[in-house]
Amino acid sequence: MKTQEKQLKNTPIRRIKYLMLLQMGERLRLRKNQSGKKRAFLTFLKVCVCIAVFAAAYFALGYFRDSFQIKLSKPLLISILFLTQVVGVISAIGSILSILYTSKENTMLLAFPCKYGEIFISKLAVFAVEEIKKSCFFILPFLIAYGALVGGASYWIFLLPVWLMLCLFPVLIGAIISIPCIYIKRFLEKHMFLYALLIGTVLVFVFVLLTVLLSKLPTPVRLVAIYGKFIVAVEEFLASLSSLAVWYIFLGNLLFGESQLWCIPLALAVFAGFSALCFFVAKPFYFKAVSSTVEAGGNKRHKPKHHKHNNIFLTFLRKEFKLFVRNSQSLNSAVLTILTFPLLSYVFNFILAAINTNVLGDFLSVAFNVMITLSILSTHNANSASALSSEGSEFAVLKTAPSNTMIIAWAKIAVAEVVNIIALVTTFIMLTITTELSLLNLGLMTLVLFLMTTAHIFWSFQIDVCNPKILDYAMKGGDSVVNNSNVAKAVVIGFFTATIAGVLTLLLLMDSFTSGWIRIILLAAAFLIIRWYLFRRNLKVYFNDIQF
Amino acid sequence: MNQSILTVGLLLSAFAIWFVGGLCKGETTIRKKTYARKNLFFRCLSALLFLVYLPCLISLEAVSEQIGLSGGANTPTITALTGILKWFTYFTLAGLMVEPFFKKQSLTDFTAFFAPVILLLNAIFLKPVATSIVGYTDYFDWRVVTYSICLALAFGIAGARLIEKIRQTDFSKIGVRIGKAGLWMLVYLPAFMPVYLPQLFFGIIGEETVDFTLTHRLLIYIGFAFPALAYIAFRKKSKDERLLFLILLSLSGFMQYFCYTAHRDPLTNLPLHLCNTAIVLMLFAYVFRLKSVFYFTYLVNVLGAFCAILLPNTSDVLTEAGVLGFWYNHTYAFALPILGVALGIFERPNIKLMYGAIAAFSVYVLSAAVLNGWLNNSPLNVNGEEVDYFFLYSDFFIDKFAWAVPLKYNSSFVWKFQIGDTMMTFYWLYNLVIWLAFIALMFAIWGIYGLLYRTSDAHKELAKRKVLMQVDHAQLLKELGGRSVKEPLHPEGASMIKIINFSKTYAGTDKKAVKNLNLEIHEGEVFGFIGHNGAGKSTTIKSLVGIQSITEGSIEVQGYDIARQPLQAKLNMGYVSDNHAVYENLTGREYISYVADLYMVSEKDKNERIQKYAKMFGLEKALDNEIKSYSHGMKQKTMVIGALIHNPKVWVLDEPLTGLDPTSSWQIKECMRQHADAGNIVFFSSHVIEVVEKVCDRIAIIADGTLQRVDRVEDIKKEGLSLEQLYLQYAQHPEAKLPSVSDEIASAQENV
Repeated sequence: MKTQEKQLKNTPIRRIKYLMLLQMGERLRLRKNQSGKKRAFLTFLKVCVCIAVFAAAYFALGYFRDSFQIKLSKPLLISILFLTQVVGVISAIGSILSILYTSKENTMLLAFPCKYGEIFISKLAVFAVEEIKKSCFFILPFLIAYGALVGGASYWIFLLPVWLMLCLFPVLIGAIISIPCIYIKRFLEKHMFLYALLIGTVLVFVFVLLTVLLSKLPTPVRLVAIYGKFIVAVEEFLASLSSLAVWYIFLGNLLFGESQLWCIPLALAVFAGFSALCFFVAKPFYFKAVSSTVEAGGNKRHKPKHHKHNNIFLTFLRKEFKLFVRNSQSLNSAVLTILTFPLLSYVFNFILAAINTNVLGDFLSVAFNVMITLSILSTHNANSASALSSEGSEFAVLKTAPSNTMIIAWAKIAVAEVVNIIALVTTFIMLTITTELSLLNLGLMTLVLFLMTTAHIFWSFQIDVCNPKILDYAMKGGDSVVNNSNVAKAVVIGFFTATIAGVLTLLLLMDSFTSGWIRIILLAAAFLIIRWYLFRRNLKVYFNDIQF
Repeated sequence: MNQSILTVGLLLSAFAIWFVGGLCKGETTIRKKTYARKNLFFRCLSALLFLVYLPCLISLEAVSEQIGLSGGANTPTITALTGILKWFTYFTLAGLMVEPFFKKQSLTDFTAFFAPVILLLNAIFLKPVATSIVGYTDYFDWRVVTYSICLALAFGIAGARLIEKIRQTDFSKIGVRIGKAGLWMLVYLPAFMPVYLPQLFFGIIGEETVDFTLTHRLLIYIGFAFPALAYIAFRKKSKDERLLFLILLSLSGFMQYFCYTAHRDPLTNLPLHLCNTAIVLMLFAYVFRLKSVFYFTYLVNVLGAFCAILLPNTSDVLTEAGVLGFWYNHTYAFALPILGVALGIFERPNIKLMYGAIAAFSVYVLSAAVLNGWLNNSPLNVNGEEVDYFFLYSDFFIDKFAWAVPLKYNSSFVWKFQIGDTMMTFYWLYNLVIWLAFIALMFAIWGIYGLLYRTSDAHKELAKRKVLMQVDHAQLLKELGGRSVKEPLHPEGASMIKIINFSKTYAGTDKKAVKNLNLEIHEGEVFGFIGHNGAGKSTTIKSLVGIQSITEGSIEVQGYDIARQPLQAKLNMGYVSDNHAVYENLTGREYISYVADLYMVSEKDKNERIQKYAKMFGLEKALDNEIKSYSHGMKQKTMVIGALIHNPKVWVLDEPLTGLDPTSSWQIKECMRQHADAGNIVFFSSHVIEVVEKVCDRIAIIADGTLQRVDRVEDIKKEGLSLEQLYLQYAQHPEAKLPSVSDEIASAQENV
């Protein structure tokens, strides 16, 4: 009788709730295990971070307003919101592709007695909750800071609903766009030639576009002389940009108390429209897309090759290289880094060269190059912080093999290093052709970058060795683990290393050119040696302790 | 004449103190039972010495303003000697202030053998010493009189210690002990050098400069190297010794502070400004273990001191008292709190201690705000100098953050009221914001410390594990008794799997997943391991093949200990996991080749076996396809081929038949039987009781982590029992541990 009652109560809302709880289970369980004091303290820390972001945004906006005479107007807010939403949508598409379609838990969820639409909604809802939580640390404090500087009564009344819509909108758009994306992705994975052609075309297009845009820059760029014009141009750009973002104009109007009578229903209507579109268009494709992922993959054949050697390192290297080439995600990431990175360097150095008028400019240019190159390459190299964990359940082979299997770490590092070196060499070639920095400066800079990025790879790998997440990868599947804290840590470390390296480079070069370079190289080499030594030591001690 | 009278007076006073000390304890001989009372007397005397010495510290010494040896009231030679004597006297007085509180041989020897000499020299050279204090000869100036009283008290303690040594006739290895005491003194002396001494000796060397020079660099390097070196030197000393070091250091910081600031206006010179506060508070924090005060300096002042060392607002004039004083001050303010925690005198801050630190900081800010509001407007401030403790009154922060101007100067945020002649003024909102900002900063610094602690702990753990690994290896070599590590530890077990008292506890839980399991499996056997979900089958198997660690007991494979000789043990094993641990982007052939390479199988054997098994399992056509296109059964078969590619002596399978079609299941069962018939061991876990009953020679039932029984399948059949019934009995009532059928038969045979 009771079971029947329970079944009667088992409404779609309840099922969605249970599905959400199931997916969020791990985090909730972790939180439950924490003591009340610890939870209170962590909450307090989070509030502190929010306050700190608010303070930073408040002062930064105030500083821009007072020092650069940039008006904190409605168009500016709309433009900022629009741009952040574009970034949000792009990032949401990537995450949604993994969470919705390729996650290993899909096989379990699809087997539950609930509709596919409910699974779809629950997955999106879990993702949306995560997005809202994340936005508490950026969008919300930023909006509050903006309101504190210019907001009226209307701003505060509509702040919360606008913020919620801003959090949810990228999720809805991302869910809709992810449908064609998953099909395109699969199609391109099957047709590597087309994929390469597409990449090449995009690259050529971007390069041409950049060259055209950069050629319009006046040389030398005198920021002070063109400051007034620049500000006017920026404001015009923001105005035109904000006029394009219609929905965000509604939100802006709500916050600034303009035309609220028709903006409220319109904003809600657009939001409801996208929700409906997501539910009625994306949902039907969901099961089809997921089931084709869960089903057996393509029947790809490879010619057998015979290798007559018994070197464990080469065995691992061969296996790593094959997996790297055959895994579209890792390959895409590497290709994107190798191709886009020199382009970014080209743009950056072009602008710097236009501003640069003296020797200090050269040093600044080198220092900024070091900082930006390291930041970007470190972000890619941070993947090494999941290299061992991403073995997942296959790690059992390493644990049971009668060989010194920790050598696999060196093979993985070798593959990461190859990508790293190719990115550095292409950048070096690009900069040699396009910038006026001397060959000596460029060569030494590339050497320093090589030492620093290699050290960062070692560091990232060490983080993974000391705190592997093999179980996560074994359960969810390699590509579906999107919030690996080890990778996040490696990115943060990379960013700090890049900043410190940039500042040190500038200071040491300003001190003396020759001895400056020698000291920079020595410091980078010392950094590499220390990281190598610590990595090796940690690997020897902790690798055999890894278990799952 | 006057000097002789004073010297004699000093000595008599010292004798009187020693004598009173003797009276206090009721006798003049030293005995253990009276030691505590006597020590209490000397402790009080030391405290009194500190209190009497305080006015000497606070008062201005004429010599601290003298630049170069000539130009003072004394001749250059006398001035130089007096300067050195004062340096040694500072240290001697500090030593005597702490001596009764610590049992340190070198300190006691220093007190007995060095201190009387230094103090006697002070008495002998009282005239130049007095002149160096007041600038002219006046024995009855209050500063000279106070100094003399200090000397007398110090004589009392030092003389008593010397007489103690004489009475005890404790002169064993006297030369070595005096040498050690001298060395001990030399270690501490640099910390006690009066900051005016280089200026007195060498005048002012160097030029005013705004550039960052080598001098700055040197000071920065020393400033940061000092705490690191001190940590390395003292980390392994006893806690008492570490505390003595820190108290002496904080005492020297306290003395140095007054050495160079005494010439300032007393109103603006209260130790309530940034690192000055830390220097004064640190001494009391260490002596009285004031946690709140300590953590206040640890979380607030260290950062300020760090910045001050890194960006000194001093010139390149290294010998100037102000420059050295600034450096000493900030080096102490930086090093003392850090060393307090690093050397384990104070624990690492937790949230409770943070609250205490915030309370102490709040009291400090409030005091500074009140004094600023009062003294800046008080008639007491005759010179009208700005009093700006903690920058709460001036525009220091506003100059850097223009947005904060209204916070300070908006009339709504200024609170004024009259008390007597003074119009008290408070910038309450501005001060409140600074207070809040610093509290946020305290939390941020706490976070940074946390990060450093974790890094330090990780390195310590790493070193510890490394040592443990070496110890384990040495133990293994010892047990092998000169044999190679490639040989089995127990050769008698060379044809079996032996599990001895094996227990496994997972991290983060106290519950044992497997409890005290004992098992022996012999060659030629197919051994079935059955149990309900979560019974401990997979845990045992994972520990057997080396995926998981062993909490207690040991597991041996072919005589090799899996924990200590893992490579040799694994070389004899093949493992099929329960979760298709295969690289989906490799082809079947590539995966098997990869495993074969790891097991060092020759090219010829590898190809032959791949051919053989691929044919046996019907995988020939699919072998060069990517594994992701394989079905469940094909993946399982690929894993089986991978596990058998090196023809292992022991083949371990975890739930190998789950989800397989009848043909695949039959193929794998056949393969298992053949492998065992070839003289090898097959050890597998399964839920499929019929299969176990059919394939196995022996079985073991495990429930709730405990081995319930081990039987030969034949014996069970002979008894007319079915394995299913037996299994269900244990799965439902694991506590009902019955004797095994084999045991019963053995027992029956014995009875017959």
